[in-house]
Amino acid sequence: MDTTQLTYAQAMEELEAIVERVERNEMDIDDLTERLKRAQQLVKFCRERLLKTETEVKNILSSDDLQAPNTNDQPF
Amino acid sequence: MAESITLLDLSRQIKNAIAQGLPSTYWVRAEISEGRQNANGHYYCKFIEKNEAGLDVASASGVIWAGTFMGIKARFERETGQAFTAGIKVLVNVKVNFHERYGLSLVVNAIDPSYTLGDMVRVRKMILARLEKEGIARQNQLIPLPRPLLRIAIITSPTAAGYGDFCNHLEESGAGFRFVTKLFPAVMQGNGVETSIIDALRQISMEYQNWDAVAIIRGGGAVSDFNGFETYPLAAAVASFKLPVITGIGHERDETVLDLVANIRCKTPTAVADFLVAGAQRELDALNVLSTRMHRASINVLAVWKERFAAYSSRLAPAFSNSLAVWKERFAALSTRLVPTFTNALEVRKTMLNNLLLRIPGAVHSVCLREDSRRQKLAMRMEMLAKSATRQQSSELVRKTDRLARATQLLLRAERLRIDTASKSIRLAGPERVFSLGFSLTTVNGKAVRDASQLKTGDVITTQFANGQAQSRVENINVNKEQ
Repeated sequence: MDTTQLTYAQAMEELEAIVERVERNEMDIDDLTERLKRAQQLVKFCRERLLKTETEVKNILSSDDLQAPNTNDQPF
Repeated sequence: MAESITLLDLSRQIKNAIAQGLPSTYWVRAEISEGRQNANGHYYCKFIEKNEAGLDVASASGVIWAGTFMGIKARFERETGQAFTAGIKVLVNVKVNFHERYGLSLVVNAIDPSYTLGDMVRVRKMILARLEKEGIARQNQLIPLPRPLLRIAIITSPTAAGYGDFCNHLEESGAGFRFVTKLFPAVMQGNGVETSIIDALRQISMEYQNWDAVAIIRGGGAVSDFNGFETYPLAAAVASFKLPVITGIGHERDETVLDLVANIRCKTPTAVADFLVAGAQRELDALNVLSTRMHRASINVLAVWKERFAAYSSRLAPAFSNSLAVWKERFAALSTRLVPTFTNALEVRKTMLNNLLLRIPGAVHSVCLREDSRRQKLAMRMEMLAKSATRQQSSELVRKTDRLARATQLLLRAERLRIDTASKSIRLAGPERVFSLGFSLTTVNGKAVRDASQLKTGDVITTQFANGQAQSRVENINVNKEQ
């Protein structure tokens, strides 16, 4: 049940299938939690593929390259 | 010395000859190969004509005076969307002019932009027809856009304004989308366009796994030079490229052949960025819709199960108490029937016993009578036998009489034994024994009571025990109807 081998399109397809089954109430109550967990996993996976995570953005913004240049490094 | 004239004289003669020989203006089809506007605003160019092999077969200098150039350029660019620049084919109205100092030149008076437009269309059609014939015209368009569309290889000129616009737009309106871009620099103006874009495509193809799509973008205003884009090798390279190509090369009016073969055609770099952002937003929206639906559907499913459970549990308690009530009722019915049944059974036994007791004296009497009469009969027969015997031989008679007497005695003894046995068994069934078992005989007015209906309230009944009797008064009579 891991998402590492999935492509984004496969994940979306699986997610859609799960949602449709739950909506049609074809889901056993025992399966519901499992499916819900899986759906959450898929949503997280897709969202991460689409969006930069906040920490990542913060890391990029705080990286040295974007800091104000150090005047001592200037050769003149 | 041979007769001679000065260069100026000759030039004047040429000038006159041209003025006389080519007096009118001419519509000429030619290609502008070089062109520049000088400080005074005059436009100087070179008209050429190429044969099918691409070799120059004619060439002439051209000039458009500043006074007419502004109007011609504006009209041309407005109507074609193509910059008035070297490389385009034009239909121009010219007057052949010869200047003593500058030589021959074609002075342009007017231009027919529809010719250029037609030529561009013709060239485009030819390229497309060739791509169709080779089966690659729609190849790039048939590639499904990858999902999500986030990693974009960009072909453009690093100095072009369009690139900056594109990157800014992607970042600003991207709302944190995970776009990855890399610039593959190419010349986007003039002669180098074809080869440098093809080079960039080749570089991308070497690392195509890293990219979802290629964007060929170029900024620029309403009018640019598109000639470099309208070539077969470039169109073929884009059409057959293994990644989907998105164009945004800033042509407002018309489409280049690249637009026609590319997977997605946008007008400007900004439009390409918008397209990408909108696509990512669509993905995000779809994802959000799915998670909302999942959430709602899960809640619904839970509610349905809860409801089902509630319905069952509310039915459970009544069902149990109902079944309990049924069992209770059954038990009650059974227990009310139990006592009468036992009482009845007892009564039946009692009656049977009473009947038996009443028959005993009669039976004893009749047995006695029967035995008596048999004994008398035997005695009489004996007498008769004795009398008849006397009438026969005396010895034999005596012997026979003896035997008879002995037999009689044996018979009598046997009979006595039978009577003893009978009276013993009578005694066993006698009232003493029955009384000793706990039964008693009830009489009223000396008659045995066998049926409760014989009695009435107030009767004095006598209860006979083995060792005595008791009298009691009837207070209450219950007659079982079932009997």
